[in-house]
This record gives sequence, structure tokens and C-alpha cells, in this order.
Amino acid sequence: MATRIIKDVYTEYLSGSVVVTPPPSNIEFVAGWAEGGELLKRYTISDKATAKAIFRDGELLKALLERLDAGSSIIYAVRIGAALKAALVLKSGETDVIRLEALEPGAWCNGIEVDVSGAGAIRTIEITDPDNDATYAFSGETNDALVAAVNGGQHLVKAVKLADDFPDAAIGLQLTGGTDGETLTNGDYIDAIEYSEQFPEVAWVHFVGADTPALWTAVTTSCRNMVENVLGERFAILDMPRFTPLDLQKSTPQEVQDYVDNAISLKSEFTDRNAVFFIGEGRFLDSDGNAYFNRVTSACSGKMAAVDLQKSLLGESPAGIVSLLPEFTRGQQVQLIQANINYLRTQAGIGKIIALSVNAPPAGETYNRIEKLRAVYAAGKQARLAAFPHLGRPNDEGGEGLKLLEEDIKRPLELMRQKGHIDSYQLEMVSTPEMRSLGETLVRLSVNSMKAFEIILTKVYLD
Amino acid sequence: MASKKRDETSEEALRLSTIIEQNNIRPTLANAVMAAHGLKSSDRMEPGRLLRLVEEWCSAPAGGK
Repeated sequence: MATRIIKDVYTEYLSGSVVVTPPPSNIEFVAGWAEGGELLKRYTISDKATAKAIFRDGELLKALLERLDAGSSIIYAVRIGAALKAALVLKSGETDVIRLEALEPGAWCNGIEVDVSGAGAIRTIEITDPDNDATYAFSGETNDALVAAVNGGQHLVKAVKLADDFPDAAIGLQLTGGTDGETLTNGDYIDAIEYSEQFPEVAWVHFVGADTPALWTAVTTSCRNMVENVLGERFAILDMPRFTPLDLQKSTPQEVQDYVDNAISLKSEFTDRNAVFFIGEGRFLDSDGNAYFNRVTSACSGKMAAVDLQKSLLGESPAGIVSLLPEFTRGQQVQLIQANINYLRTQAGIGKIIALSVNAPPAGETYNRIEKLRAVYAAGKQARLAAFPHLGRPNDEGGEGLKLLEEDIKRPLELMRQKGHIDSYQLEMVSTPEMRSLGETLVRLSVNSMKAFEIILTKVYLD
Repeated sequence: MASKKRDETSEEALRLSTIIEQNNIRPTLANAVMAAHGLKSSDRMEPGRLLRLVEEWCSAPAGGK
């Protein structure tokens, strides 16, 4: 891959003085529908309790929990959709005097209860949390004081004064109008894709349920633009449509074959270096022990986050999957492999293992496996970060700037090589007199990774 | 509605790449809409028609499950 450093190359400080903390190589960006949390806001999730407390329920929460069970450690989680905030207007007679609006959108906020009491010079507003029945009470001698007390003393609603008259006393009022925005539109996904672009440290993205060629195109266009414009190196984990047999417990061979054929047909003309497809569903257990079916995408992504850079996903077993739906026949497995679609299969004595780790590049592209793409992009990220302190500094006349830039970029790459995260690399720095006059340098980074064992294993599984 | 239809049909067809650039449609969105409708950037279309396709595609349900 090539990294183009735009503008001036620094020269006037000693190499080695730059301290660059490399980003973790496994930050996942996941966006989807949820019942809690603010919209289009990044939450960094590393544990299940936090994920449940923020997102409550929905496809996003499932995607997070399945990832965390499988080994994810850092997830940027983003709620999307057209969810609305619940609200309540307190009145004095016919006059609107105080508006209470839920801090986050969602139907659960419709259960927030409000009581207004008091007479004369003081009013009291009590707000009850539907989750735990905790009641927060606020008193004031004016609506300004009431609003200030409400806004400073609880985390459920925001109060706005509309008029000076005290609100009428009332018991058992509830916020209304809150919705979960469960039906996502293409526009919701586009918003999430564009929102994701502000996080260059992200290693791969997953937009839960974006399962059409048009949305795959949007996601990979974003990845490609970020890589080509030196904004961030990332690839995409892409969902296939759900498996929907008439009876989930007893799918017919024809239903499974139709599922496979449809998936292959859907992506037949879709190729992109940054596209990694997973197909198939698994039976999972939620925290209450209830079984549910979901795509295996998130579990596989979590497993990938847990393995070292350059380590193959082939044969890795994501935790948390009770059984597979469907179990693909050997013939279907061959079909899927040839179509560059990853899946899980059951291996006696081991469990549910990832059968193949190949992305979906156009013919002739070299980054044809997930772990190679991941290693190359991680190296690119580190090179870009190491080069960043050099940007905007003046060139020097003696040509030392290039040497110092090269030394600083080599440092993290050498560390990666020593740790086995990449096999080897070549770094080439070019600044012709013409480029120099423009303050530009071309940094060309080539990264090699190993693959011999995978070829052997793939043949063993297939023959 | 009738006058709007006349306006759109009287528009001159342009290459999609030109319409996309003139209307600052972001590549992520433009590529998605073209993929959804089997269009290429070299195809020609009335600008209003493409903008309507973009709007319709954005507001269409995407599943999300």
C-alpha cells in the first residue's frame, strides 16, 4: 500500500524524540438499532454490563454481547435510527409552563413518571425512573429554580421553562411520544457510515443488518475513500440477508440451498478489497438463558479481535454459539468458499470453527485474506501515526528530513515485525525536486505476511 | 405536481458523475444509489430524476435486522 504524506517534511529535531502511541489493532466500529443510548454518538464498550446499561436491547446490543463473549475488547458502538424522545409539558391551566424532555430517545422513556405537588410559594416536581422506581424530588420557589434543580439533579429528563406560572399539581403524569425507531432506512445507515469516518483508529467496521449490495457499496466506498485519502485504514465486515426458513428448528435442504444460492447470487458482481462476508446464523443464549438466533457475523468479529495480528481465523472457534443454523453441506461449503463468503462449520472434537477467512477482492488484488488485510492496514496506521509529527514542518536543505521521517516510520514497523504481527516490510521514501518544492513526500510501504499453513489446512478440509 | 413534472422532463440529461459533483452528493451515497439502480457514473439522466432517486433510496426501509 502507499501512504502519501501531504505537505512539509520536518527536519529540525532529532529523530527518536517523537513518541507515538500506536492504536490497538482491534478497535471495532459497530452501528445498529438499539432501544437505549443517544443517536449517532460513539460509546466505547469493553464490558457487557456497560453495553446493557446503555443500549438496553436491540440488534446493536446483541452484536455487542456476542462480540464481547467471543473476545472483543474495544468496540465503538453507535445507535442509529429515527427514534424519538418522549416529552411532557406541565401546564398552568391552559398555559404551557415547563417542558420535560427525555435525555435520550426511546420508548422506555414513556414510562418516566412525573408528579407535581405543593401550593403557595413552593412547587415540588417528583420524577420516577421506570427502571428502578427511584424517585428524584425537586422543589423551587420559581420555575427557574425548579428547572435548574431538575436539570442538575437527575439523568432522565431535561427541563425547559416556557412561562413563569407554577405548574398545576398533578399525580401520575407520564412522558409520551418516545419511540425506538426500529425500522432503519438506507439513510440511517448512510449517516452511520459517514459518522464512522471521524475515527481513523478503527480497524474494521460493521453496520448491523446492512445486507444489500447498495449498502455494501456504501460501506466499502467509505473504507476505500478513507484508505486512499490517508484518513484511516479499515475494512468492512458485511452481513448477508437473514436465513428465514418456514420453521427455524426444521429447515429443509431446499431452503438451505436457496439461502446459499441467493447469497452467492447477491454478491456475484460485488467485489471489493475491503469486503469481508459472513453467512449463516447461530443459536445464542441471552443473559437470562433464553435462546435466540442471530447472524454469526458479530461472534466471528469478536473472535478476530481476540487473535493477534497476522494470526489466521481459519479453524478459530468463536465462543457463545450453541449450534449453527444451517449446517452447510460439504457441497455448499465449496460453493461458499469459491464465492469468498466466510461461514462456520462444526468440527468434531473442536466445535464451531471458522471455515475460511477470505475477503472479496476483485481479480488480481493481493489482499485476499482477512488477517493479511488486517496486518497491512495496522502497519499502515502505525506508519501514518509515526509520520504525523513531521507534517507541517519546514523542509531542510540537506535532505535530512526524509531520513528522519524514515527512521520514525520504521520504529513501529520494526516492532511489529519483531512481535510477528507482520512478516517483513519494505519502506521507500521518495521526494523528487518537484515534489520537494511542493513540500510533498511519497512514502511507499509494502507489508508481507505468512500464509503457507492456511493453504495446507484449506486443502485438508476440502478434500 | 403537474408543473414539477414538466420541469423535470424538460431538464437536459447529464452524466451522473456531473450531477453528483454539481449537487455535492457524497461518494458513499452516490455509489450506493447507483448500485441500487444498476447505474454507472457515465450514464445520463435528468438531474431532478437522480435527486429524486437519491431521496427515495435514503428514506426506504433497509431492514436492519
